Amino acid sequence: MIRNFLKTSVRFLMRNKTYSLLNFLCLSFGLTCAIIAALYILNIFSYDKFHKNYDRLYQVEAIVTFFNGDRFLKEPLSASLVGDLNANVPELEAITRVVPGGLNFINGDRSFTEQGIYADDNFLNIFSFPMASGGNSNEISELNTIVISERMALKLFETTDCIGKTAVIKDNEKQEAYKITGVIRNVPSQSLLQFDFIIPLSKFLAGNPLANETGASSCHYWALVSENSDITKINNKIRDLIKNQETTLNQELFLFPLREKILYNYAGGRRVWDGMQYVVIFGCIAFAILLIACFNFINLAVAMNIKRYREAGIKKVAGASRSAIIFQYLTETFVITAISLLFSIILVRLLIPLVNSQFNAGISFTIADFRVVLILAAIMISTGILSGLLPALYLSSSNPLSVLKGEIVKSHSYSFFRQSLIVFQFVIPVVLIIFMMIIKTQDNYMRDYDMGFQNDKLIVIGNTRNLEAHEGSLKTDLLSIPGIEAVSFTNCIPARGTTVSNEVTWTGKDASEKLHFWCINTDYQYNTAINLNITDGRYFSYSFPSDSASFLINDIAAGVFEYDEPLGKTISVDGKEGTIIGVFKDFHSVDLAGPFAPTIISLSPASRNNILIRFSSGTYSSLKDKIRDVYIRYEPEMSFAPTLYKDLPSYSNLDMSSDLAGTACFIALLLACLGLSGLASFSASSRTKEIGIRKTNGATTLSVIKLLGIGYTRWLIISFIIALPIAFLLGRIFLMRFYFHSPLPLWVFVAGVCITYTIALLSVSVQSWRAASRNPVEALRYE
Amino acid sequence: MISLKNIYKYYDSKFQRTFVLKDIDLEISEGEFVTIMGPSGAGKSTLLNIIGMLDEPSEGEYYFLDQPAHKLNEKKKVEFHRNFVGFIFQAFHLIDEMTVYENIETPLIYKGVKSKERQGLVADMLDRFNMVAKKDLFPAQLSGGQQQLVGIARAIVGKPKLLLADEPTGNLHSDQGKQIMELLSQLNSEGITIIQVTHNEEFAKYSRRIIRLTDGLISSDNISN
Repeated sequence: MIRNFLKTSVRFLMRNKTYSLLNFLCLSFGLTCAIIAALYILNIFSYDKFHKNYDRLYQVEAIVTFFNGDRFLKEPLSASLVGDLNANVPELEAITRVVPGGLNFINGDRSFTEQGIYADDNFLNIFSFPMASGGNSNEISELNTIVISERMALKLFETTDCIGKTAVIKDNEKQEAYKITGVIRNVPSQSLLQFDFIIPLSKFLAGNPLANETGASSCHYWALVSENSDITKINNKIRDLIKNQETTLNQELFLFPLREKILYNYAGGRRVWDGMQYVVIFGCIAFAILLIACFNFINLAVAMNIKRYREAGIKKVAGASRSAIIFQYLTETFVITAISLLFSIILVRLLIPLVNSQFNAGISFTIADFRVVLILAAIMISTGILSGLLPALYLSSSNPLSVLKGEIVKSHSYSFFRQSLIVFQFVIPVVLIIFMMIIKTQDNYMRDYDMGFQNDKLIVIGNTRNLEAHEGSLKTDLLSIPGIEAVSFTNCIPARGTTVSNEVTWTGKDASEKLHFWCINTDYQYNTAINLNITDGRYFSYSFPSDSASFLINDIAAGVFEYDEPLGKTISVDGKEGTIIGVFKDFHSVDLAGPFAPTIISLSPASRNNILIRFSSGTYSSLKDKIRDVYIRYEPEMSFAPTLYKDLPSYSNLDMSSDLAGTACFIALLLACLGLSGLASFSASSRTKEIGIRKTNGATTLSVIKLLGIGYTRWLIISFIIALPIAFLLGRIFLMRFYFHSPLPLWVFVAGVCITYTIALLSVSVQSWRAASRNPVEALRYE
Repeated sequence: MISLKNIYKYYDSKFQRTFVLKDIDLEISEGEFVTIMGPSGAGKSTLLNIIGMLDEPSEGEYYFLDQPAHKLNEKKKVEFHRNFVGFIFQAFHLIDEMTVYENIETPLIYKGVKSKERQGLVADMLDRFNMVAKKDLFPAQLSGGQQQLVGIARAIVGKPKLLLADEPTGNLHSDQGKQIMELLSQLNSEGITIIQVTHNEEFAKYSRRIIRLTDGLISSDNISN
């Protein structure tokens, strides 16, 4: 029976090639999007699943309360906390401390920078990173031992059989040998922890005694919770452990489950979406696109079924029950869906590298994974039913009586339903197009934001130990290049964040308060480099030797100190006392998403990881080579990688969001237009006679095209009316996330509507033109 | 076999009721060959459709083989179509996407006949109508007369008791029409009850009983010998 059904279905599809091809393409695109999104979501949800103790692994983290009551998450904690945790919380079966870090390995004259971790010796017992060779768990217990990944082993020794060999780590001029005691398999990409080597934590602690101080931010804590323990209870027990150590530290400990690490984050003390955000965005967009594809299918099928109405009627007379007809039609839909699925699997394979590079997705695709097969089957069945059921019901409702009498089925039946589908289909691309333009506007706003200096005249390069060691001569050499105005070492690129400290005291401070300040460590040229807006006092100067112990503060910090006349007042930062010599304002230490923060500038060489170079004349490209020459002179080991301030990636990663919205909008619009043009071709052919009569009565081709276009315009306008408020709301919500944001640009709404309308009408007009330009005699004879 | 009692068919529009059939009483016994004649709009096709259970009477009772057909539910009606009745249409109504063979086979599939048996039955039909050579052709490749032959083959392959023909010769020229009519009377002589609607006086003569309808009323019912 099914074989017979299939035979007729295939013949029907072959006979109506345009219709079949349209349906096939739309479904394929829709399915491709759905599969990629599903793979993306699957990928996120399969993170860390390979750990044997997956469900019992938690990270111990702290929530810190801020100067203004804001709360934020602090992952690295003091190394000394482990004793307290072990003593107070027996439910924590095991605790391991992890410090991530990059080290420079050498072998002969080759050198490699690798990312790895320092970890307690129970690390490999708690987490399940399988050993390739080695074997017992104490590989990382002795100082100067190291466990490396197979990847790194191959890189260093060109073999994975390297137990007992020696890895040499080069730190500046100092070289140190580590005995390799184990090789682990490469860390899967779906692992939150990524590393290529493990060195005993004791080694790290030996070199960093400060890591044990109470307030230190040194180690990540991972705990294995014993089975069936109550997490709320544990949280209650650990909450005040840090406060108990030192009452002034306003930090509360809690357990963050490993299984949620990739999905959620904490902001303002509340759990917020992290990876989950993309899960939802990808999911929604793919669902919307698949829905458009299904609606296309329904629309075309219902239009097309007018031809098949008779067939259904005959079958009924021949004894077919309603369910048999529904079943046959669904079978047919499944055939199309299955073929589209095969095609979209090929598409997915081709597209995955592109998606991975564009959206940093890390997706892989194998049909061998049963979950993938399950997802494919689920997508196919739901798509088949979603797109096939309505036309099937419609078809099976065929009344044999009217069909067999030879009555022409009115194409108007169900036309309201079909047109509402069109409305929906166009709402999505319009919303996406406008939203994309709003993201772009904000992105440009942030790029072009007036930071007080010209953003295309500031070059940022990374600082290194070698450069730091030759600060003076490097600056002299750079400044001798014509055009270069200022060179400054700093830990703060404007609007890219800086070090935060809560060790700030001032007269009149409530001793129990621990407020946070953004502390900029820099040199004498920072103000020239970024054109600091000093409203009161002066910047550091060589002519005042006492300046090495002075501070500049911004107006926000002055407000926090409650100093009306801040100049000359004394404050202490991280235990260093000094006077305030200047007040500046309008300086963004954090991203434009956040407000102005209380900021303190001091002359200090600590953690200055960037060098800012401002130039006034000459071009970036011409200066780059000259700077490189100087750079290589002082830093022969690292590669020279300058960036123009304007081109720095923003914190908010708007590029990816706007790319995603752009891609989605393109596909949605393409599908909607494909569907619309298919429908237009159908309706034009069903109005052949009308067009013929109109033309014999003197209508021009253009007036016929207009006539056909007006019908669609009405429905497009309705979809714009629905789409605009949605886009407006989304845009507002999006912009509100940024403390400094561009006003909601009204032109994007006009542009979005115009673009969509033009494209939609063009796709319709091609079909209308074909119908309208036909010789009317031919059209009438055809009837 | 067929018994119609006080059958009315009407359509209600806003202010008036339009009658298509008025108070039809009709008995047709097994083995009869009946022709329904009358001018356009007299209700011939409606009457045929009611007998074939494609349409329902607005009032009245209809007994088929002593079963109250006007009380049958949808499922029973499907059973009725499968087992007791075959239809022939003026416009042939073959399924374009199916070959001759498949068109004839369709009712058997819905009837649930086993594949082996189906092959036999369809082969018999093809033999009988001399269409073996054409079995893999599509309807569009056949002449009108041949298409109607396929239509008849499809109608009788399920061995129905009743054959309903709505102007079976309407789309054919007279030679082909004659051929079809001869086939019908032959089928009738084999025991199938046939009711046909036609405008053609000559073709009406193939039947022994002619019912004339005028404006929804039976105006004459002649049985000839």
